[in-house]
Amino acid sequence: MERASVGVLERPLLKYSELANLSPEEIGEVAKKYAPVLMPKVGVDYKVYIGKPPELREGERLVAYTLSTCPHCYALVTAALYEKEGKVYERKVCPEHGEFEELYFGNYATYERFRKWQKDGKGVWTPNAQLAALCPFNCGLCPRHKSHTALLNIAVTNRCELRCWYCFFYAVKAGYVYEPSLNHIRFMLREARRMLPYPAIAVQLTGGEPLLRDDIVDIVRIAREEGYHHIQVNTEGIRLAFDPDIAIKLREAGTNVVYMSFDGVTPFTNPKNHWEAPYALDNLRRAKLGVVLVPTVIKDYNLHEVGAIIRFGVKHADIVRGVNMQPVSIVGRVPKRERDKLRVTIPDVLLEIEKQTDGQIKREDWYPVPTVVPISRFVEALRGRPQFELTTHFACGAATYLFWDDDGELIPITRFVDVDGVMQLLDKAAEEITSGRNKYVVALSVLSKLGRYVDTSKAPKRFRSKRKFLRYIFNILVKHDYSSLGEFHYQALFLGMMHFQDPYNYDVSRVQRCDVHYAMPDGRIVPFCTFNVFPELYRDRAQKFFSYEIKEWERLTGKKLAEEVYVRNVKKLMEGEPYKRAYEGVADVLSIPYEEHVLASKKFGIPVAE
Amino acid sequence: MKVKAFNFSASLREPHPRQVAVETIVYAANGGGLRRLECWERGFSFELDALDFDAEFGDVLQLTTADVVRGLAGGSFECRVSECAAESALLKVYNVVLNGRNYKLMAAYKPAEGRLSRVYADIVTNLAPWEERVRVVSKLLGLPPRALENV
Repeated sequence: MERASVGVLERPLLKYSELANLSPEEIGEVAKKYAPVLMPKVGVDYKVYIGKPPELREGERLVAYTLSTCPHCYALVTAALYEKEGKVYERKVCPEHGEFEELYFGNYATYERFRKWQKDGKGVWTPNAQLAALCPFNCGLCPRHKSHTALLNIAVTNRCELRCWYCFFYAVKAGYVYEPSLNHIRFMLREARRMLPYPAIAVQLTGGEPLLRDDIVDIVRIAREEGYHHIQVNTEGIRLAFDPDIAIKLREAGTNVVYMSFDGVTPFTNPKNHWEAPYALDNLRRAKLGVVLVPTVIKDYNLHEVGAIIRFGVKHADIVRGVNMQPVSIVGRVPKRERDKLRVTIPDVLLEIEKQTDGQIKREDWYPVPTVVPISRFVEALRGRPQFELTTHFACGAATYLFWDDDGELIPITRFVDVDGVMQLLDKAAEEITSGRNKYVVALSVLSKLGRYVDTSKAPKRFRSKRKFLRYIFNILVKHDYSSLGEFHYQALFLGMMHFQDPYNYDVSRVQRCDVHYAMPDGRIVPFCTFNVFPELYRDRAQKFFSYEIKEWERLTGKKLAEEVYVRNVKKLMEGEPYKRAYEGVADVLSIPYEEHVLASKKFGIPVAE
Repeated sequence: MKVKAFNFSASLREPHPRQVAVETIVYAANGGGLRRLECWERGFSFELDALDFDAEFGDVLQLTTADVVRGLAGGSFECRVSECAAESALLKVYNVVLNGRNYKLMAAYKPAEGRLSRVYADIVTNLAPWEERVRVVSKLLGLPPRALENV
């Protein structure tokens, strides 16, 4: 059996232009009617072969078993995670397509250090999908899911002005336009707000390129109206570079931060927006709208620049709030030897960062995402109601906070805060309150002890005042609100790492704990790593179902899809002062001949105005 | 109509340590009271039982087949599956020991469209006081609360 096609449900069962004008409630009725029909079907879309796990070979040591999928046909199979030569690998066998072996985590010691922080969530008490199939073919979220939505993604369009060589997702290639109406988006936002024990409060508007929508500012406003505290817009930054007003309008409507693709500091590693990023940063600066740089890290492509990317972030720290690296997720069928050139995992990137920052940011400075759960549990114990908590799988992501001194020395938070100690203190305090001890007494005790875990003599000069630093921690712990976090953010650079899965390293244990979700047009809420890893079964199937035919969309909007192509004027961009300034001290981009700049852009798929 | 019940103990290492033991008692709810059902017992099969196991404990205990598979390396899983013939509404009572703590949890089932549908389940991460749960379950099953006194 080969992979299912999107066309298991051939459109058009409904005409989207008619649906688009309905109210959110009416759209909800239609959407929910079709959601069960759009679900993956066993025997049609996938098979189940769970049984005996693959055997280990000489020199391999078992770490865990898990459920995974065949990269070719999506069959559910049992996989073994094993340690060999200090790394963790995944092996699985599909009865139809044979054995697959993939690097799962590049360092076993880091795996074990991270694993100790694993904490599970409270589940989802208001599932949107009935339990009718095994994971990951029942997403919606179903009653099995362990984490509430920490970040909701809404794809607001599949249009894009770039034609990146590897992308098959954008409207022209897909053959339809997915662009949910404002009421449809409101319906999706509301579905995630209904979630218990903790409703979604953070949303990322994504695409395609979301800034291609003329009503993107209205969408941000709607998200605010629906109760979202944190709104971020995910963009390649082209529009931000050329339209100074859009950044201001986005901020005024309630956007908290922009997530901007940024894969490197040279034209060769970042042909997507190397030339535009400096202008986008300047416009964001004027708008006072913070930005998180989002590099996709690929082994033989830009892994050698991870240190430089961080230095670029520090250089622009007045407006760059963070750098969130994403080790590549290998989609499509890629032969093993090709995958080996691309594959990096979190520990591999951490090691490179350590090397490229001359040991200023060490591997030990990073902690897995669920490390911060004790903060949530402590606040929950104080307040007596469920709190926002990041209970994703330990292998999914890592983070740290980075500070710096005027002489350029990078100082991760772990150099002056005993993170292990603080979290153990909070864990114990939460347990004490839950067991019936007076919460005010416990809280006072925590606050009095916090100072023991901070050594301000090792902190950046501006934090040498212990009182000042403890005030930040106190605000975050006690207030647990965004203003406290925001204030902290402005003094530091958030460094994050999120390794989204792919069919080769898939792990059901991770996806059951996923807290980065997509709102689907049919009302389901689907983990990132089912939405994008099985596009034919989730993303493309649902989006195609609720889409316009291209001709119809062009008739309704008066636009021509094929004409929405960005043509880059490399010469003009290189001559601008923002460009010259942006990379100074990080990479000598001006010494690269113009012709090589042009070639880099063209090779990537972005035409250049001669 | 057939219904499954799982009696199991698991010691799981990955991704975090968990010790869990569950004894399931199945009661038929009719005639204003509860009657313990006699069931036929067999071994657990991933092929036959994975989905039912998930449906039963995925939310109630936050425990799924994927968790069991994951945790088996260096861990253990002993499970007996009871198959019971049911004519009417059902109450399942789970006597649970989870990481050293004892819980008594309930799930209620009612016949609908030729099969039994779960209409109520306690979730270990969201437990109301016992009396309140008894009140809700007894109402759903059309029983007086005292019928649940000795479960």
